[in-house]
Amino acid sequence: MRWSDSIPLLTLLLVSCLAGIMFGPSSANAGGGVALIDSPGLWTLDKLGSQDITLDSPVGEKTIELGFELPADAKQGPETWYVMRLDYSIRVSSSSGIGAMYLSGLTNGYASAQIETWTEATKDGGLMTKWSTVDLLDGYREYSSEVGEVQGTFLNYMQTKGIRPGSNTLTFKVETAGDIGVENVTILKSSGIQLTDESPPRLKLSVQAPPGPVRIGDTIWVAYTLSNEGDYPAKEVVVRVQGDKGLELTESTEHALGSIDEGVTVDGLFTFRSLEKGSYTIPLDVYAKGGANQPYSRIVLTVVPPNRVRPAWTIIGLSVVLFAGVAGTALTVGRNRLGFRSSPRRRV
Amino acid sequence: MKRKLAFLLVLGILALAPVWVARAYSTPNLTTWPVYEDRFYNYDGEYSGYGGNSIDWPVTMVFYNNATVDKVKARYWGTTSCGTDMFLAVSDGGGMQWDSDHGTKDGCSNPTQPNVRHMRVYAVTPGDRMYNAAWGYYVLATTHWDKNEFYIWLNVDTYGWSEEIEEYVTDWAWSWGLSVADDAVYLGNPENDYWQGKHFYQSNGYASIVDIP
Repeated sequence: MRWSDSIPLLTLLLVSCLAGIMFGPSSANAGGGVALIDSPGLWTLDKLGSQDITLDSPVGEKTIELGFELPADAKQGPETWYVMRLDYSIRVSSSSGIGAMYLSGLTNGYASAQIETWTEATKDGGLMTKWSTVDLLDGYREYSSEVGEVQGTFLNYMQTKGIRPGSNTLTFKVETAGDIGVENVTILKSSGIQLTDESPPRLKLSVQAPPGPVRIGDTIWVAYTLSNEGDYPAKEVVVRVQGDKGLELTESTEHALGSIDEGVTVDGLFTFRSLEKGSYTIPLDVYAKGGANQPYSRIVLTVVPPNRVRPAWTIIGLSVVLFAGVAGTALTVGRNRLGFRSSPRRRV
Repeated sequence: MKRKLAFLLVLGILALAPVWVARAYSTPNLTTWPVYEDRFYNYDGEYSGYGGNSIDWPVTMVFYNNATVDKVKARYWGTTSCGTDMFLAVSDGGGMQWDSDHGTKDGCSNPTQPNVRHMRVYAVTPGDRMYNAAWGYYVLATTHWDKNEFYIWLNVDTYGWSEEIEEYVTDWAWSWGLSVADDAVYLGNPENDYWQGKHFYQSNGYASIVDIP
């Protein structure tokens, strides 16, 4: 970007800052300093000293920077969380060519908002504008417009490295690629940084498996408990397991659990049949759309040969027992007949 | 005469057989690699659903922070017109999926440039980028040389040296002023400089990371 390109922008920012200082609702910013984000709620751009930010006909790369302060103990989770909110409006020219534009929101250089807008030719020779977002809670989302008007609100948990105590910088960045023609991009003053104690979905997995070796031919169960310890539902949750050649899974490799609401616990189990001796590592993986984690577990199960009892030895053993029983009975009867009396056993 | 022609045809087929017989490459190190809340395989492979006996190359690069597949390819050599698709299993939530890519190359092999650098860049599709709170918007890549691919019919083509191309890619990023950390993330895919068919496997098990601002 050339210096001359940024003069109108800087002027706009200066005016916005002055307006924010003079008329903005932020008491933290009323003294003319940089706003300190130190309490829960949405800290909008106007509280941070800016009004709506509009870039006309952006080409190449343009950036806009705003400062804000965070307390000495500021960090991303686990008690408090910083969420970026981006309210945007993009106008794509009806004479645009094919190309793409990225609108990003970054703190201290680390992006947590990225709106990709691109143009596609339609079959009837027209132009379709599409845009997509990716965030921690909902993953990928795609939208389209036939009139080139792109509007939306984007929310996302910020990058861990994007939060630091003291001085911070909020940057909005526009990049274009190809022949996309953008008439204007507006970042609305309702955008900003939200401080909340609501965490993203956080799944906790615990697995129970047979404690010792299992024998060939046994059917065994691996049970799991999955709980959502976050503050939002975990969506499209899937538990996936994988068997092995010596430890065969007797059912589907996946349990599709749908959505697990916050505070909810789900139990399940997978059934295996042991076929060959050996040591097997069974992976249990949890997948969920969005969320702060996707837990997994690796269980090691040892399969050993069964207790070998040959039929012949079984017959011999049973015969010995039977013989001993018959002989003992005969001896007792004989002793009784000869006048021997057995004395009661004493208990000590 | 017909017999002679048939004989020559069979001879020709036999001579070219090594070229046409596709070889599967294997590793004991293929695994699902968890990074924060996301998962991916630490090697790409020849088809969707590949396993340890049909891998292609170890993952050697992570482009993070504000990356997309297109942004990364645009910084290097654009989307190539002469690469074949390979696959990487990736999850940004919602389960593993198999992304395909034929990559970005610094040319198409020809007599004046028989050896070309090749990088395949992967992320979930649609979306072409993934997000977690530690890496931001990121994509993954494998790197290798394609040597003498133009002379594939002579059966002299070879592939590999992933570490060399990883270094080249990071050096280039460094020259643009991007933040680079060599061998910063362990991905459990070491390959100790050895030949397997036409593939020369070379990996220290670590991926380099490049900050796409």
